[in-house]
Amino acid sequence: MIDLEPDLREMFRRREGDVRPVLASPPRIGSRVRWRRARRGLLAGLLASAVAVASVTGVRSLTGPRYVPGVSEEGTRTVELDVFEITYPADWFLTGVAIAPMEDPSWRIVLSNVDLGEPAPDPCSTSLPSHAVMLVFVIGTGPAEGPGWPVELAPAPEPCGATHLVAAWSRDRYASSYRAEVIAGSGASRSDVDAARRAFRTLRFPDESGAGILPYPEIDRDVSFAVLAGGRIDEEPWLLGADRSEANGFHVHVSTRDGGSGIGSMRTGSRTDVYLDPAVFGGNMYLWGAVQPGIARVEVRPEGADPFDPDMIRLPSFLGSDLRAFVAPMTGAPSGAIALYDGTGALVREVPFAPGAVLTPERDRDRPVAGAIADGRFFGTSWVLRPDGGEVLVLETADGDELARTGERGAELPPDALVLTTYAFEGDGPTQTIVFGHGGREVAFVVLVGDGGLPSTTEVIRPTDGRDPSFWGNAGARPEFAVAYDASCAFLRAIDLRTLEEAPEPEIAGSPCG
Amino acid sequence: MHEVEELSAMEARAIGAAVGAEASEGELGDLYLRSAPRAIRLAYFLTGDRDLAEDIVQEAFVRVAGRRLRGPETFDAYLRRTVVNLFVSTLRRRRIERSRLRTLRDPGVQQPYDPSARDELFRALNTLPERQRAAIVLRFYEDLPEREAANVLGCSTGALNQLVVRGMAALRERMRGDER
Repeated sequence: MIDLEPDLREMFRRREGDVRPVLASPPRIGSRVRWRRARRGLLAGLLASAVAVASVTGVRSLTGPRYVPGVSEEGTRTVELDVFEITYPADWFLTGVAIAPMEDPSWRIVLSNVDLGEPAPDPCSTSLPSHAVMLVFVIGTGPAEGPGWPVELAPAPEPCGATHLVAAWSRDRYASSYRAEVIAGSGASRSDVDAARRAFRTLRFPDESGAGILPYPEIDRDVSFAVLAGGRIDEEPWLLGADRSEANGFHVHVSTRDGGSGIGSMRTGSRTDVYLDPAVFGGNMYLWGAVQPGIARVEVRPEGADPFDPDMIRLPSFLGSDLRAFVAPMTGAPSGAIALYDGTGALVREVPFAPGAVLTPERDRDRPVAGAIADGRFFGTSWVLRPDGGEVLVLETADGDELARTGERGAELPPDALVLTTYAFEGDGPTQTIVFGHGGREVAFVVLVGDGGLPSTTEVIRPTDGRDPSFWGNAGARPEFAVAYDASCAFLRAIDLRTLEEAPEPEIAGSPCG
Repeated sequence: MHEVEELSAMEARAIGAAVGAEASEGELGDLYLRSAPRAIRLAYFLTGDRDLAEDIVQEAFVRVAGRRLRGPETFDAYLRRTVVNLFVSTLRRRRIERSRLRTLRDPGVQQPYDPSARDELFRALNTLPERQRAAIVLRFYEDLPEREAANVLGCSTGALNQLVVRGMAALRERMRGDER
């Protein structure tokens, strides 16, 4: 056996000198820090104003939300991915697959004017509709070869469609080799072929746009994905994506450079006619979700702004869902409501929203269980979370079988306390871990963190009789920490959900209280 | 190797000023000059790439200096943890090391293992999965105690030890492979 430890230590010592000396601080480091602080302060201010909203209507008019649609007036979307930025017709489909993600990482990403029925098919070996037009990208991480960007599309030497154009280029980045093809069937319209060529010419790359990158698509999972929408608020890019994998099923999520938020387990025909996530990142709200096929129209009614119809998106069929997604990016972090209408224009329901308060999948808003603070259904088991005697929370099945409970508490909790219990529902799909408990009176936010590093907000229930608040949330398959913050978003304490022991404050992507 | 050092009163005041709400460009710059070299060395051994290491440390510095801290003494620990988190979460997705791995496998650049030529070890380290690599760097470069290294990686000490054991086993395997 080779004893490597001494060699490792010697190698570390010797190669410390590889690093260039730091002779000056980087340009703009101070302004970047101050901007980040200002953004945190802005968020705290917005949250505080939400608490005291009744007395600050004048202020609200200054900070009122503004809808920033992801579709341009010309009917195009601009989305920024890990590998490029592209502008394309808003009613086209952008899907992708990771090709052999572990051994030879590369993607195939396909922009198409029709729903192709499978994610990013190989166009030359798949039977496709004659009117289909595709712009196909194959992007790899191998050695950079070929000319740099920009390049022109040229006729393919061995065409496999009525129109077949190709281009290849390379970049000195981790995604280093690019090949693009425009392929159109014999029945494709000229305007659609031109739209694909225009989309090709809009390509930009993260370091050229100066915008950094969104962590999408991922290539360390065997995943098929669809880009549903994207855009920018105040130059900050956001993206609404969906993916499907053997391991995790169907999942929709919003991503920003400050963090992301997702919902899995969405099912057509469930009792929930809307899945809603008023996610807040960087001080702006990305109100998004999905509705059942019976909902024909969604109207967003933010407090302090005029109502509007958000961008509605049909999901590509490979995702296996006929839900329709919607997304309403807004400046600020307003509360408000969404109104759901059926095909006859009749109002089906009005659902309130508040920053970060996720409407949990499977929650039955029509028929809440009497006395419950939450209820739902996982893997065929209906569950109820309810207070028992006022000071204890009990998680039980709809039949009354107890699953878990918080411990007896006795006296009032210390102001910054966090006591909690977890229960994992397991079945045919990712584990769902319910985390619930009580906080001391200073606890205003409890955030759950999984191994993806992205926070999810819990619902905090603050009794009106002065008793300590309760909270609950779904930590998903791989919970790591529950973290408590006070009303100004200052850290109070963290609990490691694997050991239920006190833990240091974990690093959280984005603002934890969003 | 690094020891966990207690801050002098002067250092604590300087960090306190720089992480305060009214910090000047100069105070933040000074804090960067003080904190960055060590963090860049850590990031370099994690990534194997000097440019990437500097990028990661700049981003980590902005994140840590841009938040409210419990005290100046926590700054270095937060910076270390943020560097490791950025490395693990960001680079795991990008898999940039794959192209390096391919280069390593290229028979044209393989060399017999020579214990005195430890660049092979440096390159082999950079082919390990991110958390194994981070565990080894934290334990044998940063010389962190098990519990502290586990805290940085957000895992139990048992899980940390597993990461180290598996990482070292993989390194041995790769060095043996290079010997053949």
